Amino acid sequence: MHELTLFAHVPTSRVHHVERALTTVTGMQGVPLLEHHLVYKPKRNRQSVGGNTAGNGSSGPPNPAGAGDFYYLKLVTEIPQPDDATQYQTATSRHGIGGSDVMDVDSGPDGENKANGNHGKGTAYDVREQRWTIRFSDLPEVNGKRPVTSRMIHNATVYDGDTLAFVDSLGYMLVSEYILAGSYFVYHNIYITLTRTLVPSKPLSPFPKEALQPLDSADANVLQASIKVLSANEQETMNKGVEELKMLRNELKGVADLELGDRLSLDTRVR
Amino acid sequence: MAASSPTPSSPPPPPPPLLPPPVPQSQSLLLALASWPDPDPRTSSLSSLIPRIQSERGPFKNVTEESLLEEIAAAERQQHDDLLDASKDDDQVPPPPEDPPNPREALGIKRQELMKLVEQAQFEAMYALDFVSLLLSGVRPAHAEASLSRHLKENVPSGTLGSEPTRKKDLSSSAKADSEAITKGWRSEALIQSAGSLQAASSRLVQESEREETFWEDVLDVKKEGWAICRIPREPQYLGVRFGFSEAGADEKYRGLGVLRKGTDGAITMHDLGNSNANRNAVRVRILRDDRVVGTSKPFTDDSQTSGITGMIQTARNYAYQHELFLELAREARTLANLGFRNTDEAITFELGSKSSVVIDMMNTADLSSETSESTLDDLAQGLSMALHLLLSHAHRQNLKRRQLPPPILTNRTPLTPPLFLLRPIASHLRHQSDTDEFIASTQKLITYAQAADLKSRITLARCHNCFSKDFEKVESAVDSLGGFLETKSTIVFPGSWKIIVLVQTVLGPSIFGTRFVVQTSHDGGCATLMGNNMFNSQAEVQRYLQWSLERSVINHIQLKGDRWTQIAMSNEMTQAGEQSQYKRLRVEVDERCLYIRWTVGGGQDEYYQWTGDNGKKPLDSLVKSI
Repeated sequence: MHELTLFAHVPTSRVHHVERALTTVTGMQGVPLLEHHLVYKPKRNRQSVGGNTAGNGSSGPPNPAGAGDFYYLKLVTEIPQPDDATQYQTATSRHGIGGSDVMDVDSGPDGENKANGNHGKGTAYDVREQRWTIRFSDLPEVNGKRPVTSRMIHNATVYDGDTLAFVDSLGYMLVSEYILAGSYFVYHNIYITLTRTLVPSKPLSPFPKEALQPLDSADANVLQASIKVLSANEQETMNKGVEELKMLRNELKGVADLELGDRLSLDTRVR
Repeated sequence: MAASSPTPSSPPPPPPPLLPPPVPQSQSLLLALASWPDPDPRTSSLSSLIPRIQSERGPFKNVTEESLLEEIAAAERQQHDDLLDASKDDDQVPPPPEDPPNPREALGIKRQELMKLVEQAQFEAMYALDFVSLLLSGVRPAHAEASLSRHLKENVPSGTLGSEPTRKKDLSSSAKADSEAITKGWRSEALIQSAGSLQAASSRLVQESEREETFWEDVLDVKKEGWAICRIPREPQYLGVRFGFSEAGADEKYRGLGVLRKGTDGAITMHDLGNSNANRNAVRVRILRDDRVVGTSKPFTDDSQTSGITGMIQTARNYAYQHELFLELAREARTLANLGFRNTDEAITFELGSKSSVVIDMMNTADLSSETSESTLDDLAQGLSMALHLLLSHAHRQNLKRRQLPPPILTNRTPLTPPLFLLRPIASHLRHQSDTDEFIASTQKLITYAQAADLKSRITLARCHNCFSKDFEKVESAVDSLGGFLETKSTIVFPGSWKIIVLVQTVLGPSIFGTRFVVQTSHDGGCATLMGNNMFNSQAEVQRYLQWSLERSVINHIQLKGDRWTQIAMSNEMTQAGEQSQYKRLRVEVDERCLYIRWTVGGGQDEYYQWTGDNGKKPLDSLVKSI
């Protein structure tokens, strides 16, 4: 799977403005997004392997250029929002009374994965019970021709069991964690997120939400527009994706300047 | 030209009829001593003749052959009269015409002359053009050179001819006054004219501004009503209004875009881009039984008569919805041939049972009122029509929700759009209804047989209710339940404390594809039974099972009543232990027509008694006792 991405930096003062612009462009209200990201790296360091490619065989697809490189691995999950239950009720009551056409935002993209008995209670968030997605991202391609960042990614959702233990048994250790909070929008095939990065005060616990500290002291947001393409070999599809992103960039011109991500800062190799 | 030439080409001595005849001159009775004047060659030349003719009788195009012939005839008559007069006078005899030249020859000569004149005129025009062009080439060279002749262009550099207004010599005071008066006259006339045109323009502008005002007020009204005003891709000069449903599939047919146009009085009108106005059809549901219409749904009320732009848009929206509904229905019906849907004659037919069917088609709303039906099943038809509409709206809503989810991975395979769930929920409901009814009817028969034999038996039914009983939290879940799993629970109590629970389940989809019957049996344990949930996929099977159960339950009943009878194994036969000659055997049988028992005593002739559900039959208990 390939991911085409554009990024923009949105200062706090402009978040509201950008949100409104996105609402206009996409024709939908932003859906609240709260994701827990865990960053893992291999336990053994690179020298101890000495070019043995077996070490990272499990972490990612074979990469001839960087054989012997180690890559970070990421676990991502949606954090059930503590106000989900109440929001749901208000949504239904609103329906009951006014029958208004307000878009319901009660369930996230996969509402069923929150049905693990802990919604409504933030403190009950169990990091081992969550449905995690193991995410591998390659270093972005060196490609001057495409005006977007493109890189190979792989997602694997673990539907059952303790993912953290599994990743641990693969030989990875947790190095850091962060929480993405914000909202997402959908525009044709583009998945747009407007998020800020927060750091939990206690390890592996995003709650209480009030205790989350912004990573960036200026509390700036990142606007990310991405398209997932099945295969980079499908030239037509890739072009279509690029065109769509360019179109979005034009639409948002002056509101947020979407641009390529810095390749080296998106590097996922362990140094 | 050719027709006109004979007249003036008369020989010189008798002057042409256009000239004043010499007769009046002779009336002065003066004798001219000078020789008879030669006719001025210019007066008879073509170049003077043609302007004269033109000034006298207008352009040549008015001259026709007939008029000329008439004129000739008149002139001859005149001449004749003159001749008569002259002979009376006998005074002056006009000299006989000298040998007139051959008219054909004269014609040729004249023609040549004419050509020469035309050529000359052409040259003169060209010179004039060249002159003006050369003069202009000093001011606007590019413009002027287009009309400059090549010869001049090659030989004279452009812009070499200059001009300057010449100052007139001092005019006399009268001429000055004259020209001043003329100037004033012209000026005042021009002023009056321009004032008039300004006035006209201003009144036109006022009118225009009024038109604009009403138009924009209407546009504002449209906007206030919540319609989306947008640009029209192909007609940028017009505003458009989007009245279609944004979730109504990607098909351009459903786009629902209208152009807002301004009428002559500024009144706004909307022109539907997608469908012509002729396409004013609404979906109609009819129930047919034995090829007769027994129920028709009411069409939605067409309020196109209501004036106003919003009414117009609303009507267009409604028709777009109808149009989409029908197309989607047809699309779904094409995939449902296995469920008895037929797409024929621009109508969708769905067989309900052997004789009745549902027909869905498009009908012009204007024609609808004319048709009357027996209307016994109008409610059903109306309900079906309503449900179809609700389901389409529901599909729109689902589509909106889907669009808000993170998008799927982009591939070059175009994603298939599966047909919407419109007919299937309805068909499964109808199927469920009819299957349940059939099941109940045939089970009821068994119960009446048992009741006729004075046995306790009954059936209770918990009909599938997906619309009334549940407490719906949301509108969506209400509609969702329409498309869900349908189950009717019936509890059948047979004699001998048999209790059979039959779940009638219908899903027109994978795993069932129709109706199935899940049967659970329980009794006091004195009899054979099938344990667990038993699935039957047809009415016949489940009926056969119920008959089997009734046989056993009657056996059980007899066993409970009189202890002398014992069941043979698990069969439907019983024996009564006794002496050889008193050996009794009894069999209970049930089929779809009746319940009957057959017995024999001591190996004698079989006897039997049957209950067909009629009253006045012997109770089974007493019959068995009497055996």
